[in-house]
Amino acid sequence: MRTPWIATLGLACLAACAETRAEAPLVVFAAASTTGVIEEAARGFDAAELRLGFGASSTLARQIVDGAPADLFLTAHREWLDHLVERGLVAGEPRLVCENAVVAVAPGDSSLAARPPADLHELAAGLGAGDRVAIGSEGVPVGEYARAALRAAGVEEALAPLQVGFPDARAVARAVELGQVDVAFVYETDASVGDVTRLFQLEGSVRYWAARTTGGVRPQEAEEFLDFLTGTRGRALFDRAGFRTAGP
Amino acid sequence: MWTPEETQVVLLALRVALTVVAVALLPGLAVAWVLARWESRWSLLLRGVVMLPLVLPPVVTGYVLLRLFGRRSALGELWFALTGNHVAYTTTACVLAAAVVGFPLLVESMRLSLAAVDPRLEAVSRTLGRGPWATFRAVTLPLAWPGVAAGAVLAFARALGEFGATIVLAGNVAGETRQIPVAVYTLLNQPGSGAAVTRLTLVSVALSLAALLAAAWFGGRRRRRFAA
Repeated sequence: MRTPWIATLGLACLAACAETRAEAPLVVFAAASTTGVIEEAARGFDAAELRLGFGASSTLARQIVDGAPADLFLTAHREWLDHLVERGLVAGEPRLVCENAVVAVAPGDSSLAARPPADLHELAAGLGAGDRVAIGSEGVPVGEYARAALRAAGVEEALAPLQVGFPDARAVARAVELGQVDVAFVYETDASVGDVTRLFQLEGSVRYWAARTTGGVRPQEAEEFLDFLTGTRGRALFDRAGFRTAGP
Repeated sequence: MWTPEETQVVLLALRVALTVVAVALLPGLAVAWVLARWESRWSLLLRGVVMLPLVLPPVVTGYVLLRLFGRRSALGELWFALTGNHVAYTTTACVLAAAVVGFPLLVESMRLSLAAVDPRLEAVSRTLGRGPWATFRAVTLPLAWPGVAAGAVLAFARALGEFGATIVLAGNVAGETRQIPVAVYTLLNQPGSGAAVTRLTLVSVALSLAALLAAAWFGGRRRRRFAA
């Protein structure tokens, strides 16, 4: 009696696997900074069941290169889209989804928040050994944008020894929210969490791109979700969360 | 090619691991001795507390330490008042995280070794006029030293591998807190960094293997000692 039981169980498992295979969800890998918007968009999109993965765009790109089954990639930096294009992993036309900005923020009860510096030069002049600056680590878009601005302002060297790298944009925002660092470079859209004071905006444009992957199994729905994100309803969601889009 | 940053990462890792052993050795020995020689329900509780970091998710240990020693905590403020430095996101945090997570390994190895010393030998030493401290140094420690050394080596190896508590408490500061696991993790999140990951992985495997062999060698010494 034992063998049939196990056989039945095995068949049931196989059937379950086959079933999920037939109705594979649409897998969306999106930059951590878009978490709230994409979750909301997923609720408003009924053409397919969605599975969402969030993280630094660099991490997600690496996972896609390593064979992660994503249908759609939404990146906070064009660099990681191009990285996939070079490897022949992008299908269809990439689309510009929204824009954002990087800002310097400090804990609300800190001395920096009390006498906010006006730009990177003033900020660098006011920081010294032992102070800590939260920034996205190497490759993480929010950190790459910030480092580009630091380079352009000529304060990269001065701030380098103070930098604590975090694995994605949300983790940077979380560090300053907990009051564990003196300054953080976060996205504008993450600057209003908890007791955090916005100091100033950094130079440079922040553009989010999305594209379908060649490894995706739901190309039709992926394209529809792209249409949804760049359409009126999607743009309204991004605008409400503080991103900039082409408008309704 | 091997880069100066990678040298920095490996040297920092070794420095932190050695500091962990130096800082934790005497407290570990004291706790191990108490656990080996003192039996009550309180020693059971003490053992539970000491062992906790072994089973707690290291990330949770790190978060607890961040709330205890981070900025805006009483202990963190006290440390800042005494030293002028913060704990969070500094090399101090690396040592603290690795010491707490490695402490159970240190203590358990020492405890087993100390418990295996025949209390009658200590009693003989006491009747011959040596005090408790002199007895510990002249009788207990010489008999138990291989286990003490093995514990130190295990804590050293655990410090080299520590990631979870370290990433939360010490973060990722190049030159100050970026040790081998955090460096590998950072590289893994950057597409196209395969060669550097491979180099650090090989160093990591070599160091860990050497430490384990050393611990096993000391362990062998302990067994021979008590078999004789």
